[in-house]
Amino acid sequence: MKWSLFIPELYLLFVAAVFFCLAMVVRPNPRRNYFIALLLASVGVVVCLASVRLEGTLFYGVYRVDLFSQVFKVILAMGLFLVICICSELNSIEEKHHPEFYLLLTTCTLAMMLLVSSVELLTIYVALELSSYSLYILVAMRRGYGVHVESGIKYFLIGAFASAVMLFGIASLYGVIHTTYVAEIIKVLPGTIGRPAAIVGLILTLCGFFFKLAVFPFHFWAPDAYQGAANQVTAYIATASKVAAVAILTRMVALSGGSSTYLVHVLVTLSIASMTLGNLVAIVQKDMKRLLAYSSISHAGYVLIGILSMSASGYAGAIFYAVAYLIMKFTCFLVVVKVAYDGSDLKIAQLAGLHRRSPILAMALMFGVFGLAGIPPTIGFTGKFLVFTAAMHKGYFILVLIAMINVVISLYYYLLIVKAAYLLEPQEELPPISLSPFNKLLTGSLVTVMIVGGIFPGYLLELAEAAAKALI
Amino acid sequence: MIVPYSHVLLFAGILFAMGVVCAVARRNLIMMLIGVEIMLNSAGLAFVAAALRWQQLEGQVFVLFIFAIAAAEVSLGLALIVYAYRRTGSLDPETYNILKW
Amino acid sequence: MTLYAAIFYVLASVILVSTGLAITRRNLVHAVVYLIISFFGSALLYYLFGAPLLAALEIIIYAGAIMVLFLFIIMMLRIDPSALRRPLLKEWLPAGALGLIYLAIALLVVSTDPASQTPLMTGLARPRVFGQFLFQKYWLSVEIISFLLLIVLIGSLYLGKAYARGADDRTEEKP
Repeated sequence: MKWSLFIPELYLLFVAAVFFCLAMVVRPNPRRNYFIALLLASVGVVVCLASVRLEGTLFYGVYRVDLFSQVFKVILAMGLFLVICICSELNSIEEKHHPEFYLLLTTCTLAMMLLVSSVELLTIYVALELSSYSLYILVAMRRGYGVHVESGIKYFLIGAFASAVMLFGIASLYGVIHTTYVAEIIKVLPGTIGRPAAIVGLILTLCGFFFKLAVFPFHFWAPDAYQGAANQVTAYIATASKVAAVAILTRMVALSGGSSTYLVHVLVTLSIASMTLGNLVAIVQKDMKRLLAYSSISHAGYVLIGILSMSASGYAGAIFYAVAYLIMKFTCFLVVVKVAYDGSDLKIAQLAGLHRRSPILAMALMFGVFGLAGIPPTIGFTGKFLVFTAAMHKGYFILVLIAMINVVISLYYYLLIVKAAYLLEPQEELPPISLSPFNKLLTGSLVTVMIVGGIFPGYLLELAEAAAKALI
Repeated sequence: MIVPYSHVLLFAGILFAMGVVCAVARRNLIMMLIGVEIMLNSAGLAFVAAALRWQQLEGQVFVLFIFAIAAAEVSLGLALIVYAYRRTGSLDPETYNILKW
Repeated sequence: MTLYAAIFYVLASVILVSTGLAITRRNLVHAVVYLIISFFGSALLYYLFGAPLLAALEIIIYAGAIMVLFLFIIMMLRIDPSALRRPLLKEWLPAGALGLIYLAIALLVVSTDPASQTPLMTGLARPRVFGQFLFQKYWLSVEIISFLLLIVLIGSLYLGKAYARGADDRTEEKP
């Protein structure tokens, strides 16, 4: 067995062990923990980048290392690094529990790395559960004595329900196709997908991933968990966890071989329902994190358009969209974390006067929001363009039209955010927000990536296409 | 010779539906958790029947992992529920409607 | 109908009835006790399907540990059964609809799969073979699940202690 293929995961296991030991240190030292976490996470990105070209299978074929999985591992490591970057003022978690916080964050990333590499249903299932459980605890970890535990319960119960549905789906799928290995399923399933047991099993199995992505029937947790969790945890749920969900959903949908019209119909319905519901409810939101939650529900709908096209360009579009989404959403959350530096929830009205309090944050917010809305020079436009063209090639004209209408609806509330940040004046004079040079650099590079990635998507797109090829 | 696989699947399906009803309809957090346990158990039965159908061990291995997941789920779920109960004095999720829409 | 088939149908009806009783009880203790009966039935079914190890574990973990944990919590919280209100019709309705959908799907699935009409052969997975299979082929999953249990342990410990800390916070807020 070649352990070198397993290095990114082993490294994260090591990081988790470090924080496990730090959790036992009696005297809490948040600054030291923060710098250790930042250092370890940045090394993690380097480790994942170094192992991006590895290929092979491990553990009796349950674990496959290929370009698809390695690209997602890099993205996940980036997500972890970015989220840890904004943990410098982690006021909403008690100082004493910062090591546990980092431990759970690392564990969740590790679980998602295992998830994107697993090619066997049982391993996929347990890896998914490990990442979900880390998040349930992270959501309930917020300081104070309040609503967060109730939002944690809601998140947990819906998650447990979705995972039970998924298990029953796997059971009935296994009852039809007598194998749990993805490589064999991909051979057997297209021949049996016409049988109701197989298609029902596959759709029920997908429910577990729909929950992760907050697609329509399993979206109830998103607004509450987003609002109830600490801002940094919300940032993590909204970015890295969504990317992993896109990865595994793409892999599972690719299993059907694109030969099932039922599956396409179901996915089209869910996609339309998610984006319409997300966009319509987002309009009335007052809380910034709730608004971002509903916007992420609608974005799940857009990603599904790419996935349900079931073509190489569709999968590549979905992967590209996931990366773009991570950067855009993270930028928005960076602003949320910095403006609500005491760890409280942020109302949209509280953004008033941001352009004077911190011009760089206001600019980052504007670009992030424009990217989410899909306005041209940003990376968000390119992502939407890719998934929509993939769907057009397959002839899903009505679906793309509905998605376009949704994009127009979403412009309204995205512009409200920009209006709050640039045009509204605060009731009382608020002090300017000071950013450390590191944070300024981070914000600047995020904005640069958003614009450059939007204008010259070539390299990223090639990578996404190569990764999608590994699937089919 | 026992029974056709389809009968077992139907039986597991009914049990699963009961679990769904319990998890969705009961306005009591503990009963909702119990409903999820019933769903997991029915999935386990379906797995063992499928394992017997194919004369393979994979299905049985799944059940073992379901046990572990169920135990983890109950311990974390009950810890959350006890916390919330002490705070609000109620197990009815309707009373937690601070977070709605 | 063979003897095994008769055993299956009897066990299945016992399980369905006791689960049905469990999910409709208002008194939580009664619900848990009915559920224990249902899980014992499931254990016997596992045995019938050739999984003796799983049958033992079902009794030890499900009927034993998990249900006893439920009983502990129900008794610890001292929930007054009369205080629990009866669910309203509008709350039952979506659940009933969902259940019916699942049932319809199950019927559809079962009736359209011709290959599944042949009776299952009996089989037996010996614990030794089962264990070797598990630790050879599913080694990674075993590791992941043990990590999961560690995480849940940390989480439960945190939540258990969080209440006491929360109480302190409240007294500080209102001096």
